Amino acid sequence: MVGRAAWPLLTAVLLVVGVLLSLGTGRVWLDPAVLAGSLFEPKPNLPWLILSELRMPRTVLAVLAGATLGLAGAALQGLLRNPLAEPGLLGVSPGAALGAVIAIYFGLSGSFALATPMLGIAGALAAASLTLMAGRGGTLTMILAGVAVSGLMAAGLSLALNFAPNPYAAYEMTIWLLGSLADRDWSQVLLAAPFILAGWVCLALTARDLDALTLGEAQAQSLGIDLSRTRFLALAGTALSVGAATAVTGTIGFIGLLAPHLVRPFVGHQPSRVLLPSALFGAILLLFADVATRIIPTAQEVKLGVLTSLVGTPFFFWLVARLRRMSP
Amino acid sequence: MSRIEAEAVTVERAGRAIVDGVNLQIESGQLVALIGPNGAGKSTLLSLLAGLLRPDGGSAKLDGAALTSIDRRKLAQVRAYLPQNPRAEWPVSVERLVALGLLPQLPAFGGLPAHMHARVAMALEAADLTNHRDQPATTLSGGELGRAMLARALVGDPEVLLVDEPLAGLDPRHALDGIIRLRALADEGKLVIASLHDLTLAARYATHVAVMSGGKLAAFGPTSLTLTAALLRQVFEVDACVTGAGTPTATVDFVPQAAL
Repeated sequence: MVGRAAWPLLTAVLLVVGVLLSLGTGRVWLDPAVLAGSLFEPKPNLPWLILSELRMPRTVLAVLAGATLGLAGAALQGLLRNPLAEPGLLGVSPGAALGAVIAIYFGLSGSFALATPMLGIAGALAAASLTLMAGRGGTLTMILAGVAVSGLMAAGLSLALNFAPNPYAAYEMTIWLLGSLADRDWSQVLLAAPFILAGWVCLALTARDLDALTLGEAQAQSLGIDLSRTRFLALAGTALSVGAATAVTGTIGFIGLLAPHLVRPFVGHQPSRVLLPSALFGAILLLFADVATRIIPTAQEVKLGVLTSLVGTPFFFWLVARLRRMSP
Repeated sequence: MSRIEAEAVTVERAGRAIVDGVNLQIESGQLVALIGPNGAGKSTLLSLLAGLLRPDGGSAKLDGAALTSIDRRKLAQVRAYLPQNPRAEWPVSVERLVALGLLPQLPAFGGLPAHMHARVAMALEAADLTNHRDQPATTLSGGELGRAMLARALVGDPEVLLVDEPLAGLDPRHALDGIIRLRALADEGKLVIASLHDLTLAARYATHVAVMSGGKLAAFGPTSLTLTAALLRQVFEVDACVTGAGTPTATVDFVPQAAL
């Protein structure tokens, strides 16, 4: 058993290794010596360009999106006190996907590159406000409202695919939905980053409320917690951060579900203490998953969302088995 | 000195009055046993008096200010509330569960200050849970969890304490311990309201009883004057034998009406 103090160290090491692997993996090998040598040259050379324009946005995006999914998953599981809660459950990720697909459907993305992420963010916010409006009043109503909104968004996605103007557009939408970090550039990262950071702030502000919810809603309220504020912050934070991340990367499942469960036993299950480690492990998981999509030798690159789902599903079965053991 | 007043408070659900025009005045130094049959409106009245529920009619006040207008955090610092059958939602340690009662007193950022650890330790000691300190709260037995939750409510040293069936599921020794602690708090000058089903314990330790029946307050007053066989027959529809209400050796016994 690793000592208590070793966990932050292990997390940091994994994160650094993930970042270095992500920067170092790709079609060409970048010699660190060449990079370091060219650091002070005024004229950019090819390896440096590959690093700064191709690999770095991808790595930064993996860290941002992974941390977002881990953090939002932890906050939602704390809010709803439900081990299956994740951003997709409340309609946020499908909302972002629908927004982005609409941009592709109407060909907006062709004329204006940032149309996809912008409409994605708008879709996430719309879905979240719908869930919040319909799900006022309690945990169960909120989950049910989220399921209903998710269903609505999924129907919209199918409709867009159904009426796709041409096979190429349908193909583009499907590929986008699978989720990927490939070929994202700085402009997309910079568009999403402010929304992601604003969302993180909202989610972090719920920390103490989530602790109080350990005692159930009545006791949390009696401890001075305004539950409608907590719900609003959690949902707005999820919509902003997950919406912005999904709008750039496409749907990436299971990270938000998996990361909180991975870290929870090591922080004594206290909801506020789950948030940061869950965000860090979300980033680590996504970094490694993204590296894996580049290493696995298939004719076409395995899409990131497909890989996380494939790897995440066995975990889901494990969770079901554990719940069955624990329930009386 | 605290004072809780209810002025004609009414709560309606689906067109039915669950609490119906209740007038009540309770002061520091009183341990009020809230008794009544199932569905009489005890829990609803308690959450009203705790300021968690907005009345549909009338008003509930703490020291002259409407409970629903008091700042949540300020209210939480002086008043503790424990609902019926509280549950721990995550397997946090018993120590952390009890420490959650200090949330309203914590500074805006950071963890538990050092001097508060001592208060948590004292609350655990008083609840006879020191040996269970590091145990996950979800693995406690029903009675142990009840004691942990009472410790959670008491750790913040509240002026006003409202507890909904705090003795449910407790073994005789811990039930006695529990009610004696509640009485001790009242004797220290706190205001304590507890809904109870054990009428013998109520007759022995409560300074006052409030009796709910069908949403209405059927009686309220000092235990020795209020808790009578006639009242219990009227409210619970059973024949009762009450001896020495308001003294430490009081007993309340029931006999089915048909048996007489």
